[in-house]
Amino acid sequence: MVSPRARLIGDGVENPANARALAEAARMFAVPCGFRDSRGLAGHLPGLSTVDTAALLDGAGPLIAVDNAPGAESVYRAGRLHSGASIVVGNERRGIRPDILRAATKTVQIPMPGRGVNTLNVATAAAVAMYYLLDAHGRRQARAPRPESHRPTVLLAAPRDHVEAGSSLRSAAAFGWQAVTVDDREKVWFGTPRPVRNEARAAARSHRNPLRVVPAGDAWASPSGCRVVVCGPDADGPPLHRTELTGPGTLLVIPDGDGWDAQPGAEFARIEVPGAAGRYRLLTGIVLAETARQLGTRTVQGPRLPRRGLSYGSGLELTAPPETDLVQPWELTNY
Amino acid sequence: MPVRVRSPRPGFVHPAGPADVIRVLTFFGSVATYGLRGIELRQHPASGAAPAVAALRVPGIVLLFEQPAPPWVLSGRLTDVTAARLERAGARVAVGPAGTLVDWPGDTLRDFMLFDGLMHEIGHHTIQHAARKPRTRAMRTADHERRADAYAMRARHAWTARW
Repeated sequence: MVSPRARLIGDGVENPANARALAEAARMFAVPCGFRDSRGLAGHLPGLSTVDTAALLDGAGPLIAVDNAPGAESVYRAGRLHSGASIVVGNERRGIRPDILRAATKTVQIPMPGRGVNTLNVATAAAVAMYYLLDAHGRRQARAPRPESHRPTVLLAAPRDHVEAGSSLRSAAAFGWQAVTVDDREKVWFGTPRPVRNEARAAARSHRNPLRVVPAGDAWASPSGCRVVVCGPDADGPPLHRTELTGPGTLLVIPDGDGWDAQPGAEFARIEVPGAAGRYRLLTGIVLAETARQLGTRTVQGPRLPRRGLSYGSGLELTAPPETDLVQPWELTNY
Repeated sequence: MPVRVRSPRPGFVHPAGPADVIRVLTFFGSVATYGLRGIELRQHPASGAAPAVAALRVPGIVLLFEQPAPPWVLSGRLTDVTAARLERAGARVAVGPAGTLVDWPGDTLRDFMLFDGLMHEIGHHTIQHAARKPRTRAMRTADHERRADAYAMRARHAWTARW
């Protein structure tokens, strides 16, 4: 069933694999997906649903642009969408075109504190944006001070596709993780043939991704005293955005499918989406975004003033003034 | 040496004009001006309640601030050190019940600005410049001030003895 509450628009997406992932993200949230095709995407994907630019710009519903444009509002703070809204994501490299940005009712961005990598895959960004714009109501309070001391460890458990694993590692770096453990029992990341390795590293943006990927190993077990939270679409637990995902000694496990057995005592958090469970990169993107939201951003004392150079001054030093008001002669003259 | 002038507010004057500044700098030559970037005659800074005379922005910009037209009526009492400094420069300081009256006969206010203002700050500049420290203080502030005072006093003696 397709919900009329919103629709997802890909503006100028040029990679067919991304277009397919975007359509899957839309199915995940049970919204229709259309493409403003200017890059010959329809030639690669027969049956692609395209949208008319004039109809998009003059549409009745609000137009929400997901882009890290200057002045964009955080998607975590954006309110609930009205029905009939169009959520637009842009080209992989260039983002949303200016005519949409100008016409947009609201521009939202996904805060990314990572260094080196500060963008998400376009389908992941769409899934994260829809998660916060359409669902995820009644969220936990974000913790603001010292977020880094509460950042949990992340275990990508048994990813089944190398590109999905690489894209998930890209998301982890973008959301500020410096190391991620990978349980690579499906052999998609470590020790793979060169073509697979190249594709996976490209999806992870390894050339500028400072993330350290730690192999879990066959005998890997969570440290004793560690709080384990298993996040998945079929997990038997409270919704993800109402579960405490942060805190020292917390291990977030994001399994790909059902092939990973949780240890006894583990907690569960459900990635609550109205449609079909999406591919792995979309799920990891949502989990990592929600964790980053709960961590909050470090509070800053205010804008740092530009440093003023060294200076010396000389003046007249006065003791405490008397309790009378003196009038200067020139003030009297002017008066 | 560029000398930039900003007009003083009503009731205020620049006691030492650009020509006076150039004359003094020409007299002392490159010993005083080496490394200087400019002199600016400015209005009184907005911050700071105490009357400001001059300032040095390291590296090499000297600011001379406008002063009230004499005589000065100050709402308060000068500290002993400041009163002695003004009297040494030729001012007549009279303390009244409601404030302090400072009168500047003749060219004493101009010379006060040129030596206790301009040359004092150039003294700071020469210390910093010799130490090659554009961002940090070359010595303790008290020592810095004492040496700058001594520099200004030597400059005044050299100026008065020029004839």
